[in-house]
Amino acid sequence: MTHVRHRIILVAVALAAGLAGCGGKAYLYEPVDSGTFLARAERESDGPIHIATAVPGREETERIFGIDLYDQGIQPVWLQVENAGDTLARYALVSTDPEYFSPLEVSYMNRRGYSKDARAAMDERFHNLAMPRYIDPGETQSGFVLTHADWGAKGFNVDVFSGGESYNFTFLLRVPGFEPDYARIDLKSLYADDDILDYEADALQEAIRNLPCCSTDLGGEESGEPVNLVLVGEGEELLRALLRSGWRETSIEEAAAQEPQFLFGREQDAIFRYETVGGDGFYELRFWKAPFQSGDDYVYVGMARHFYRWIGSVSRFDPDVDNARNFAAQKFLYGQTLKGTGWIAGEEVVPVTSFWDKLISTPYFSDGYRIVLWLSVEPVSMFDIDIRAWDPPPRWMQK
Amino acid sequence: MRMALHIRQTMYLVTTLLFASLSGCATGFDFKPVESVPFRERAVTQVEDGVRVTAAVPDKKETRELFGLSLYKKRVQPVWIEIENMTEGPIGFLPFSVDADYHTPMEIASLTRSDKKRQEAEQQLFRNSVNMWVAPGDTRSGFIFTNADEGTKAFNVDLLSDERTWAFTFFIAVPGLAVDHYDVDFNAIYPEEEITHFTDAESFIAALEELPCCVVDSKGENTGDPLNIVIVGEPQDIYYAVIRAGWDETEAVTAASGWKTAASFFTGGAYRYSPVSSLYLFGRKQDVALQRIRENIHERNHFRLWLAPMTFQGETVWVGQISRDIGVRFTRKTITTHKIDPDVDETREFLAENLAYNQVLAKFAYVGGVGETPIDEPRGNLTGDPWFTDGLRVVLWIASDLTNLDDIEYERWVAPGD
Repeated sequence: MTHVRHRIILVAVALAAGLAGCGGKAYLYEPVDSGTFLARAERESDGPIHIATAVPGREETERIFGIDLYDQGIQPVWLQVENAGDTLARYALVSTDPEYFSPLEVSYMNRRGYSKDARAAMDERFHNLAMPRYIDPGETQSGFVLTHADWGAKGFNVDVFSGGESYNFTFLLRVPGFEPDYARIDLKSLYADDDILDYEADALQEAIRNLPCCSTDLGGEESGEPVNLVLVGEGEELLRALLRSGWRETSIEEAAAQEPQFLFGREQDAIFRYETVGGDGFYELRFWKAPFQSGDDYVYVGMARHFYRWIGSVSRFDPDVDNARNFAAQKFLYGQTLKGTGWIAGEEVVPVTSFWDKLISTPYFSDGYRIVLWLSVEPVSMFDIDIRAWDPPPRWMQK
Repeated sequence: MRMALHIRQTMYLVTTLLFASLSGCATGFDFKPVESVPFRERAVTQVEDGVRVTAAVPDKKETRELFGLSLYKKRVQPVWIEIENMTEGPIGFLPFSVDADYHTPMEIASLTRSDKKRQEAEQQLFRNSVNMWVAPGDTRSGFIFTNADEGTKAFNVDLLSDERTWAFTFFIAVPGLAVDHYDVDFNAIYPEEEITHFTDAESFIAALEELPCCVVDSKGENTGDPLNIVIVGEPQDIYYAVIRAGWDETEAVTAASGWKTAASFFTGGAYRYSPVSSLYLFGRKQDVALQRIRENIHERNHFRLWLAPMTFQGETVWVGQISRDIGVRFTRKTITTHKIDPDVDETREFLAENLAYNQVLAKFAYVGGVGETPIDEPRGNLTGDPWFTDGLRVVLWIASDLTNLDDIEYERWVAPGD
């Protein structure tokens, strides 16, 4: 009985090997338009340059490329560039991802287990699907750029140069299969329209000054950590600015695993993170939508905190919360998404000595200041930032 | 036999103990005054519009002496910065400009495990970190904890006041790496009579197109990768440009560095200064070897440059080869070698964009000279990897001032696709 089964297995293996062209599996894929992702394409135009772009999700990618690229941290971005001008146009790949993967690099990385013919077919497939750099006048080119994967919203730039002019596009696309933590609440109907107050400059300053010092626990009794960061900007503009500056969304599951903080009587609306290089730790921003706005600008009140790697995968809270606040401000500044700043001096100063004092032993120390950041999607140069004459910055630190 | 083994073990133990005590083995945090370790002899000072900035970088050993901790082992490199404010108003320092992923004093202190020692470390490190603000007439100094670089440490120091900003760039050599180009005296490569000075584009293009297509091996017998890069500019500007664009100098190949590469192949860890093997042009190995690390050793780009016996409109001309590594293979001769991306034009264009987006490219053009090599009839490099190309070389003029993307000039000599 076992003998027979063995023989069947042997025949089956031989057959499979024969089908795969000897020594390895076959490379299989489906046409680019087999799925529905092209129907999600977004379009933008500037002068003679017309762009269409879409990001296939994990399963769509596996169908088109025959490989689960998301599993390797690689996300293809589909681009179509039409050059309606009369000079040659050049698309700069590094504008979309400065560390993009080259097509043949990715096919080489995935060669294991495939037959010789299959490897050649894979190289050819990746090479042919690549987005070309040059687009002749009157022509349209399309293809994929292999970028580093973003799971939630994909924010990226597309720069095209032609005839001494540059054409710059910014896209924000939603990638299927990821729910950011803020999707669990309807931010638009969080407050009734009548409840939202509209403040001009001075009133806005007062409203931010009068916010509670700190987050609390659920019962509102235990005081948490300082509310040291306020973001101001139009709805989607805020999200784009966060992504452009390198902050990433957290998923519903990831956010639910964190210890909740409370303000305005509810848990935070959103958590964003930035992981520092080498897995040494992360900076975290938590936000609550404020019950007031300033013209068309929404106001998000929050806290910036830093956690560094302690032992193994355990992270530790960095008591220097002012550093976390200042780091966040610089992250926006160098991400060229900061168009204005204002400082609010707080009354809750916690000196560094009380952090070290064994009797008091506060969990953090702080100058008590709160920074307000006006964010922009259009790149803003460091020289053009509008510094509001609110309180003078916390200049004399406690060293 | 057993006796001999026993003796050897004992001797080993004794030597280890001796070595440990001699090398002042890091036993825990122990901060020494900055003055006690003379690393500031290598300090670099810059003064601009009422502000003086002095910076110095302690090497591995000096860092251990200063902090009692082997911070380099943790990939952490302290940079000492002193800011003197001779203006009328306060000045702010942006630590992000030195390293966008800097480590905080509390994070460094946490390397010390005992609670008592750690609190001492927190206080010392916090008080000796760079202050964000410097009052008018005041001088402030301290350490910022960056991610480690070997060889030349290149970083910016950005400062701001209510009215304006200052941007300084520092290049500070750190001892401890046998860097390739330090062996080369660029001025002594060619006697003056061997150098051709081109002024008009036409004869310069002709000269570039007559250069050999490719690198050769040490005997000059076999041809390898294509020479598809030409760089025009002042040597200091070129050096600044490549470092700003994220390229590192490489270590010259030694048996030890070869083994380090092999180790990182097995562990996937990034040995950042992995050496490059030598390729030849003008009868000598490359004058400068650079690499740009990506996420691990399997993903890096190699870039080799040779000074050419010519100038163009008074500026030096360099010829180069660039490759994108897509894997590591073992070979008998150099222990490890890299499998390259056969689409060498892709890598060439990456370099042009990489320099342009770091604002160091002033102008670019293309010339022929490599010879078109279609994808279905590839040529091979010295380790047998295939490559294909449209046959063009890109000519890159390096800017002496930062140049915005919109201001980069394109000189239409030969165009891709012509």
